[in-house]
Amino acid sequence: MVRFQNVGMRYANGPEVLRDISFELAPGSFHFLTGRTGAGKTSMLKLMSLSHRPSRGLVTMFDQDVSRAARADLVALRRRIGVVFQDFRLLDHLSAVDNVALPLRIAGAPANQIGAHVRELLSWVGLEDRMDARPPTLSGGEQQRVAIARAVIARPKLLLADEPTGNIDTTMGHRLMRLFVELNKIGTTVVIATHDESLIARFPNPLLVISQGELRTVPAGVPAFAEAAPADGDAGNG
Amino acid sequence: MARVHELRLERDGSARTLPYLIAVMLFLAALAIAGASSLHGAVGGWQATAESQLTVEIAHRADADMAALEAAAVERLRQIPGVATATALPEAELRRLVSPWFGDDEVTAKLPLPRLIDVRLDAAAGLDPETIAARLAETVPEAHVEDFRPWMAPLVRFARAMQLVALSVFLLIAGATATIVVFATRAGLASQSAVIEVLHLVGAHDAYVARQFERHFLRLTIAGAVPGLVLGVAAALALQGLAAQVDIPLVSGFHIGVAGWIAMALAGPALALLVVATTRYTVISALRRMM
Ligand SMILES: Nc1ncnc2c1ncn2[C@@H]1O[C@H](COP(=O)(O)OP(=O)(O)OP(=O)(O)O)[C@@H](O)[C@H]1O
Ligand SMILES: [Mg+2]
Repeated sequence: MVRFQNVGMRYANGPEVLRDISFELAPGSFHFLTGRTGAGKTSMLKLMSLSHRPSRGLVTMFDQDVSRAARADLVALRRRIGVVFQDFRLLDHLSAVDNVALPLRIAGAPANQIGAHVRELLSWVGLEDRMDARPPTLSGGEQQRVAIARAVIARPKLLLADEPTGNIDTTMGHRLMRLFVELNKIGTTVVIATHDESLIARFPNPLLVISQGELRTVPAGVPAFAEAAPADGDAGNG
Repeated sequence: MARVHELRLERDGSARTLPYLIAVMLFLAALAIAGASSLHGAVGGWQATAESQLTVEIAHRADADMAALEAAAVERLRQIPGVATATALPEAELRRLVSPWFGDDEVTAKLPLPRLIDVRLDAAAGLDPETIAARLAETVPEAHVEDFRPWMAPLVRFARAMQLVALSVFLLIAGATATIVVFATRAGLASQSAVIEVLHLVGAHDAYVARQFERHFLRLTIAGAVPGLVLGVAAALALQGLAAQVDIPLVSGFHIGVAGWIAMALAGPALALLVVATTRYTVISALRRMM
């Protein structure tokens, strides 16, 4: 599904924010991506969402070497990936419905098949009364749910979510997590970036921990988060 | 569900200025076409005249029987294969033509005027004035063949130069329009970069983004092209009408041909095509810089 081999990433001519990263995500797996603020979680997701090219190493997505994929192939890959951005990136002039419908519209789905589907999902995330509202008139948590609905509407094979529960209360946060779990059960590979310890404790899943530009995997149930938090003394690295 | 536009190009400055610029471009294009087309017609007319008409002049000689010379010349001319008609200008007509300069009929009557013979040639025969002069000299050595071609040539050269000017006006219009559209498209790409990035990341093809730009600029082009062309055609018609009233054959011959009107009608779609192609190229090459 996702395989990184000795991947490095830098912004423009800056220092490498990710160094020599190697891991593999099996199809249907569920991972939390964690690390301190500024560790590189969003940067990792940018590589996986095909928004940035690695500065070195090999990124393989859906068994395709990304560096060799033709432009049209990248588009096809992106359509199989749903992304919840940390800053949502909703289109302010479109209603919640039109925002959520975006991936379907872009993929050329018939208009009459889009509407009902989108409204159903928006109801499910508790926005049945805010369907036609524009993002600037929505609360942070409401915008976040619109962003999540947009990420999952096209039933992606890989779901990448950057702090998807950061702006909502625990109850709604858990409800959305159950949405991700449900998607995972029907085969979607899920990666959720978060520094919410309670969330990780509540939904035990393996971790990808980034520290000092490097990544290690921690199996489910091992309390690795506390150990990942300090910047120094990363004894378990390897 | 109404069509959803993810890009908000209608709020860019181009939405206000581009129609005016397109209108100006098409107005100029219509005038350039009118000029080129009527020059083309006029040059054709002049050349046909120069190649199919000439005048034979017999200078006055007090000691000669001018009428006899004239009759002999006409007779000889008519025998030359390729000469369609040869008609002597009646002496009375000649005197009437010069009378405005002398006023007094007495003076005019005594003027030693040359005899003039109007000769029309069969265009197909390809007879040249030198041959005619040579044949005519056998019988009437006093006759002089007046060829229109030498003084027509600079005129034709001038007209051709004007046509080249019209052509360069076209190329300038096309170049200026393309440049304007490139800058307007880049402004749109900049103002919409956040939206474009989202579209890109959720799996939009470059063409999906480009199409919204194309539609936007096509709409603006049509909004400017229609009034621009209408004004241009009106101006061309007015000029043609004014030229027709001028009593100088060189000027009144200005007439926009069918090809000219067709070219004017096609100028709008041609410019629209240029705009759309430029927009598409600009957007696609900018998007290719994204992963
Ligand atoms: N566009 C950018 N240009 C240059 N440097 C960047 C850019 N985005 C992020 N960085 C740098 O890359 C590093 C990793 O940033 P990243 O956003 O991936 O961290 P993060 O783990 O997502 O943090 P947070 O938990 O605060 O969201 C940081 O040092 C940051 O300053
Ligand atoms: Mg981040």
